[in-house]
This record gives sequence, C-alpha cells and structure tokens, in this order.
Amino acid sequence: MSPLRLADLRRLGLRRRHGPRPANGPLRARARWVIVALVVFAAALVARALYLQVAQHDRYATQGEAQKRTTLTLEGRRGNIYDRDGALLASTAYAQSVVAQPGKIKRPAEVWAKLAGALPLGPMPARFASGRGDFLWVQRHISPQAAAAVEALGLEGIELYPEPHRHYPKGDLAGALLGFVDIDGNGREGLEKNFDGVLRGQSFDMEAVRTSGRTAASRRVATPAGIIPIEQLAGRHLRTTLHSGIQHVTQQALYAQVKAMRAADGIAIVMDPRTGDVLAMAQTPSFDPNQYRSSADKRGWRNRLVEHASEPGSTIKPILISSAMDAKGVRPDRIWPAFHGRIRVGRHLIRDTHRMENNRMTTLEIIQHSSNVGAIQVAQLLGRETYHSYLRAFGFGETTGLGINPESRGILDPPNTWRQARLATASYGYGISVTAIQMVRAYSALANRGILMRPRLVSAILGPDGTPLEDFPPRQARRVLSAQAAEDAIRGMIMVTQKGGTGQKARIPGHQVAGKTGTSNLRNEHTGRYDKDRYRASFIGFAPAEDPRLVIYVAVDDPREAHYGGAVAAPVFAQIAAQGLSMLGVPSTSDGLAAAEDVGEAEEQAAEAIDPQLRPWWWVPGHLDGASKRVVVPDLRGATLTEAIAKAAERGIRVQIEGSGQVRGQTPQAGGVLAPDEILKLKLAQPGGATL
Amino acid sequence: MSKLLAILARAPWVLLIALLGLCALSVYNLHSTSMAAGNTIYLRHLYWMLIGGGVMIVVALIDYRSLQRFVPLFYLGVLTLLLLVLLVGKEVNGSKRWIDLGFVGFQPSELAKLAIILSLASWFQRVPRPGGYALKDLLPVAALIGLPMLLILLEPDLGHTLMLLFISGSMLVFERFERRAMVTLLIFGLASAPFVWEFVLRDYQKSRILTLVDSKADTHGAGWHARQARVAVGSGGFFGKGHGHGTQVAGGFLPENHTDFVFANLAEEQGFLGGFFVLALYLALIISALRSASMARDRFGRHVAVGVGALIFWHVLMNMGMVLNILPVTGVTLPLLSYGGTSVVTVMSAMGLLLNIHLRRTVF
Repeated sequence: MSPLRLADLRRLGLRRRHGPRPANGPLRARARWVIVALVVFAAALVARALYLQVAQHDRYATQGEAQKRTTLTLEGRRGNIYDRDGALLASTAYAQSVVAQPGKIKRPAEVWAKLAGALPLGPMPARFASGRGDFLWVQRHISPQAAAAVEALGLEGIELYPEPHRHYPKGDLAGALLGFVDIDGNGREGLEKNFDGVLRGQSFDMEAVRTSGRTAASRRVATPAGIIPIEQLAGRHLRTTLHSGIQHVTQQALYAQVKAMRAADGIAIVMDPRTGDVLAMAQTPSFDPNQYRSSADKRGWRNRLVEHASEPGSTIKPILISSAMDAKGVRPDRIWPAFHGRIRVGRHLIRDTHRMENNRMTTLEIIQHSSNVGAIQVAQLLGRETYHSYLRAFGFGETTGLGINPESRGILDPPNTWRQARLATASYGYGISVTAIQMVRAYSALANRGILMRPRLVSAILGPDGTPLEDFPPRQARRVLSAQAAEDAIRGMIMVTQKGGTGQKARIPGHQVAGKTGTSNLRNEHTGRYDKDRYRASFIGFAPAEDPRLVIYVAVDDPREAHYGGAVAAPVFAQIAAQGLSMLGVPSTSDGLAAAEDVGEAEEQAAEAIDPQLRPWWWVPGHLDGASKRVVVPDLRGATLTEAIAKAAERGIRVQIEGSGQVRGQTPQAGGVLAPDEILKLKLAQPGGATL
Repeated sequence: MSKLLAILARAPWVLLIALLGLCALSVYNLHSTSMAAGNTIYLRHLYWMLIGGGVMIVVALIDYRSLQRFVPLFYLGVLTLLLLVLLVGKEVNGSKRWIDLGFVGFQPSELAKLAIILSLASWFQRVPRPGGYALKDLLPVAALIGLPMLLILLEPDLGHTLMLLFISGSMLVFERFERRAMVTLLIFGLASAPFVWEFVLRDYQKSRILTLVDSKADTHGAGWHARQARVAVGSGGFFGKGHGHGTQVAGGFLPENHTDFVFANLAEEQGFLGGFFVLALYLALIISALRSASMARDRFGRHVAVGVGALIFWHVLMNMGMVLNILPVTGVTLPLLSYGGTSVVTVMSAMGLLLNIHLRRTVF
C-alpha cells in the first residue's frame, strides 16, 4: 500500500472516482481538519513525552530513586525481667501475625472462610475484599499451632509475619509493678516503662530498596528477614528484688480480704528491712499485663503504692514516739496524764475512747492503745521543728528513688507553717500525707534499729547473655535515730499485738510481731470532705520483732464489714508474715507468742476514729479546695449556755451570744454551713448579757 | 482459489504489520510486568491474542454487507448485557463493570463501542440524506448513542461513557448535516460540559480532573497514579531502562501497571524511542483505517472504518494522555497493549471489520 496522501483523505467525503458519488462539498474541508487534529494530538503526546523523558528526565530519575530507597529499622529482642531468684517475670517471644495483601487475593470470601477455619476470626473486613492494597493485619500474635495451620493452607496473598510479643509467664503476679509493653513494643507502665531504655533492644537503621508500595509496614513484610531478632541488638535484662512467692501470698491475702470486707480497694507492700529490697507490691484491682487491653479498669495499670499519697493516721505514732525518745530522751516508762481521754488544743477538743487506768499512761502505752491524747503531748514536747526534721529524716516529703515514676513525694509542709493544731494533728497522722513506699521504708528504719535504707527494686542489669553489667547493692541512706530509741519504740509496737493492744490479729505463730494499726477517715473525692462512714484500715509492722526480716504495710480502703485497722488489715499482715517467713526459712523463736487466740473486739478502740468535724478546719488534705474548711452548724436550741459553747468549740465554731439562759434561736440554722471566719449567733431565752 | 489469492493480494499490509507489531510488543511488555509481579499474565495475554486473531479472521472473511443484517440484533444484545451488568454485575471498587462468567470476567461496555459503531454506520446507510441530515434526524441518532451511554454511566464508568461520545462524535464529523442541525449539535456539545461537571461527574472523577491541575494536592489518592506514572515515564528517559529493569512500575509504586497504566511500563523500560515507536504503530493503524474508509464500497463500510479508526484514536489519546499526565485518570485501556480479554477480542474484531472493508473495497 502506498503511503497515505491527503488526496486519500479527501476522498472520504467525496464522490469516488469509480462509484456512486454522494454530493459532499464541505466534507472535503472537514477531512483536512481531521488530519490536522490527528497531527496536533499526536504532536502533543510526543511533545509531552519529550518534556517528561528528556527535559525533566533527571528530576524524575532522582525522584524515582528516592522513593525506591528506604531505611529499614531493625530492633533487637527486648530484655527479660526476673525476680530475685532468677525466675522469669517478663520475656519476649516472636509470635506470628497474619498479614493479608488484598491486592493478591482473588476470592476474598473463600480465603477468609479458610482462614476462619484456622483462626478465631470475625466478619470479613471490607478492605480485605477490596482487591486493593498490599497490607492488612488479619490477626496479630497468634499461637504457634494456629500459625502452622495458616501456613499449611498456603493461601496466596496471606503471609505470616513474626512480631515480638511480650509475655508475662506469671500472669497477674506483680502486674501493676511490671507494667506492660504496647503492641508496637513501647514500655507503657511500671518497670517496662521506667526501664524501657535498658530493656528495649537497640535499633539499627538499614538502607534498603523498597520492593513494593505505599505503607511502612508493607516494606517490612517485603523483607521479613529484616525484623528477625539479631542477638547483638538484644536489650538488657533486669533482675528485680521481687520475691515471687511472697508476692503471690501478698496478692492472695490482700485480694481475699478486700473481697471478704467488701472493700473498695487495697494495697500491700513487703520490704526486706536489712537491704531495702521491695519483695512484693500488690494492689487491687489485679492486673494481668498479658491482657492489658482487656483490663477495663485502667487504675490497675498505675502503681498506687508509689504514685498516691494519703494520710497515714495512727501508723505515724511510732515514728513520732521513737523520734521523741531519740531527741528528748523520753523514756519508755515515762508517765503521761490521760486527761480522761480529752485534750484541748487551741479551740479543738481531741479525744481518746480507750479509758486509761488511773487516768495515766506510759510512753509505750501511747503506742499500744494508739492514744491521741498521749501523742499530742509527745509532739508538743518534741516541738514542730524537731518533729518535722525527724519526719524528713525518715524519708517523708521526698521521693524514695525506687525507679518507678511518677513517684509522689507526699505532702509535708515546712514547719514554719505549722500552727499549734497542726502539730497536734500531725502527731496522729493527719495533715501530712505519705506514700506506701515511704511508709514501709520508714518502718524499715525502725526495724533496722535506726538505719534508713534506700529502697531497691532493681538489683542488677544483665547483658543479653546473662552476665551482670551493673549491680545495685543495698545502700544505707542514713542513721535516723539511735538504736536504743528504735529498740524502745519497738517494745511499744510489740505491745500493740499483745493483750490490750489494737493489733492483736497481726500475731503469728512462732514469731513476735511489732506493728501499729491505723484507722483514718477517707476523703470524699467529690465533696473534698471526710466521709464519716468511709475508712482506710491499715496495719504496718514487722517480724520477727527482734531481728526483722519482713516489713509489711497493708491498707484497705472503705471496708464495709469492719473498719478498724486491727480487724481489717492486721489479719492480712499476719497471713503474709507467717507464710513469708516460712518461705524465707526463718526459724521460729521459742519466745514467740502463740497464734492470736482470743482477740476481743473490745480491744479495738476508736482512738483513730475521730469525728471528722474535729479535724481542724484549716487543714485541706491534698490542698484541693476550700470545701472542707466549712463547718456544719449543729442544732444548739434547747442547750444551756455552757453546753452550747462546748459543742460549738468542739467544732471550732466561734459564737456570739445574745441574752442568757437556754438557747432559743440560732443563725445560721442547724445544718447550715459556716465559713472559717464566720460567727454563729445564738439567741438565748432571757435578754441581756454580752458577746462572748 | 484465485479469488482468495486476489483478496490476499489486496490485503492492507501496513495495517497487518502494525497490528502484528503491536501484538508482539504487548506480549513482550507484559512479560516484564509479569516477571516483576511473579505471574503469567503475559501468557494469558498471548492466548487472548490468539483467540482475538481467530475472531478477526472470521470477521474478516464474512462479507460485512451480510453482517449488516445482524446489527440491530447485536445492538439489542449489547443493551441487554449492559442492563444485566447493572443487575448482576460484579462490583469492583464501587462500580459494576463486569459480568462474572465463572471462568472469565466479561466487560459489556467494551462491546458497546462496537455496537455503536455498527449501528450508527448501519443507520447512515439505511437513511441516506443526500442534502444532509436535518434536526429531526438527530433524534434517532441521539437515542442510538444515548441509551448505551446512559447505561454505562450508571455503572459508573466515566471513561467508557466519554469514549462512546467521542467515537460517535467522530463518526458524525464524516457526515453532512443541515446548518440548523450542525449548530444545534455544537451548542449542545458546548452547553453540556458544565452540566456534566455538576450533575454527572462524581467527586472522585472530579478530583481526577482536578489533580491534573495540581497533582501535589493529593499524593496518595487520585494524584498517586498520575504522579507515579509521571515518575515512571520521566525516569525512563530517552532510551529507557531496558526490558525488565523498570523499577518504578515493577516495584509496585504504580498500580494497574498491566492494564490501564501499561504504557508507563513501556515508556519506562523502552524510553521515549519505544513510546514513539508504539505511537507510530497506532498512527499507522488509524491512518490505514481512514484509508480503508476512503475506499469503502458503501456508506456502511465507510462509517464502520471511520468508527474503528476513531476507536483506536481516542483510546490511544486518552490512555497515553493519562499516563503522560495531560488528561485525567480514566479507566481507558491502551488497545492491545493493556491486558484484558474483552478489550483484546473487541479490538481484534474491529480490526477484522477493517480488514473486511478493505478487502472488499472498490476496485480501482
């Protein structure tokens, strides 16, 4: 065929030379336009191609190279966490995850059905059936059996991809302390978070050529070898001071009691006083880091023993009294007046409910019976500056450096802000707040006969091969008080668990127990006031008293079945102490008391259970809001003048009196609220008289 | 026998050589994408080529004038299929374009192009207007074109809808119209553009057009294809990277690299030279189609040849324009080079028609 000529095109609409000739004048012109259009379009394509491929070639070649190259991040295996005996608490295994490349899947429904035969799958996601894309998680961290089953299916577009998976072999044991690692390998809470830098493997960026597509993850699939653990990059291991056996006992005892007492919450911590080693830390609700995502109650994630501070209540008294023994040479058998169980501090009246024989008590009996009246006198003798400096020496108001962050310092205001009433409340454990770890550390100093240790949770960092890289030996912080003072205070604490004491249920067979009960009102989160019927029941102590091996602090919040520390927390202490000592192989002593036999409820005393309104109006736990400063006005109508004044004084209310005789009227009315500087006006039966 | 020899002697050799060249190139090019993807698409493409070749020979041998009788039947059949695809079609990416026959997917919109070419040509043959078509004549023409267009628009398939419009529009260029009819056609064509933009185009279609203006706007949506195609073509350079060395396309950056964007692979590996060569082959096809038209024995044959030429032309323009980023991304294939059974068989039958018309042209 000869090359096309314009003449040929013209003939398109023209009469043909050999045939019928349709009359077609204007089409000749159109045919010309057609060929012009053809040339123009073709030229446009050619010009554009030249522009892209010649003029802009370098630019696109560079762009192409750039998007082809990528960096692959390799990360070594995360280190393990061990308990003090080398038992595994956390480790990383490589679990298989199932990945789909929807673009390669021909019959998604069929493939999904086959997968569902091997895996517990839900309904098919739309993206799976889209036929597009090269990366979609089908299921992550499946069991080896399931992985084998998926592999056996041999489905196109379905791949297995090994992912690191953190495993906690002991389930919920010390869950909140260990914390957890999220699915992307970041330590999120507890040790996992605070020692993330030690535990996590080193990462290494590798230049790689991208073989397919758009997402970062798909690149990883393209080179699965890239994420297989490389030993040189592996993270370091942690050896902790935890004692798995004691941790287990602690959790069991605490959980059981919280349940039995229908309590809201509970915490317990066990320390070896000689080394400062944390042996166990437990809190409710229990938390299994293997299933951190399914734990509905996120409170379980946070370590409240370190993060939360609260008022210690009467458990502070042995600290106070040992300080006074050390600083002022107060003798254990010194006699203190009991004031018939009432003492006035400024305008506040503070009471004991335990009646002291002969209206007096010894220093040790203050501890034994948890006397507020006695404690106030000791505090007044000691003085606010000295008491404060002892509290600081015992480690209150500072973080312990345990290594778990965030850690609360608690609240310990400087002494120059303390007024007379503040010193009094501080003597029975209000107006300061402390963490559980601070508390157990301070008692460890008593147990150590005066030596304060630095608490220890991590005892060593081990290399990937298990050789110790860094050791953290037990460290003394300082001597807080003389051995004699500690010894004397401990005698009082032993009396707590003996006949007449508040904590007889803390007794265990074969060992002498020293300790102190505490019962304090809980503050209502919403109103900021103390709730009259909600308590924290606590017990802290150690055993054996003569050579303490375990210091145990137990606190149960809002128990409904009983509320005294001696009834609620002491039994938990006893359980942990008895089993813990037997686990440690501590031999029973002959002079150890028999098991708690006849602990009468009568011994429980309400010394700690002060009427919340008795607490000074100015003290706001946690420095929150002013709600608790206000005082509810009692109904004084019908009372005599002296009765009315006494009742008002109990509540720290100043009164203005008009007339004499019985009270007839009052402003504000009973049940009303008075601000701190407001005055209650009383109208009496007979006119006359003066403002008091 | 001598008659057959006579027919062969009149064969359009330019057309056949260009066709063979394109077929060979398409298998060669798909071999590269197959290597990268690890499949055997190029072989399947080859089988479709062979089937298409058989269809082409059958179509070429039966006199097209006797085929004309079956045109209404074919047209109705295609309409039925287009309805069917809306009812029972397989939905892929939100549009229903395929009928699943079990062993093979089937795309009726491909056949619709043939149906429109044949029926429009047949109508021109049956209703001659030596003085040009009047306004009232446009009504049946509009119905003939509009019905399948509407059905395809509903799938939705913008590319094929436009394709039908362009092909039939091109065929109208080669007919005479009365002045009023022509003016109406022009006005209608111009006036419909904003209407189409507002009411017919879907958002994703608009965004594809908009990304032409600013492809950085959406690098992973509609702009992704366009950008990756540009990078592939541009990085190919003048001489190309060589067969099997096209990393951009083979690396999975450009989806649909064996179908709609197959030209990007070719331009990357064979460079400007390869692309230009392919364009030249297509131009040879189009020109020989026009030449066949100019020599056709009757109006039917002439219009069919023009329609086939237009089919190739618009496909090539829209597809290459898309790959080169001067036209929006539409699902328009590159005839013969793109993988796809229905498309290959359709184009090959169109080639058969062209051969048929050429072989039975007026003897000089």
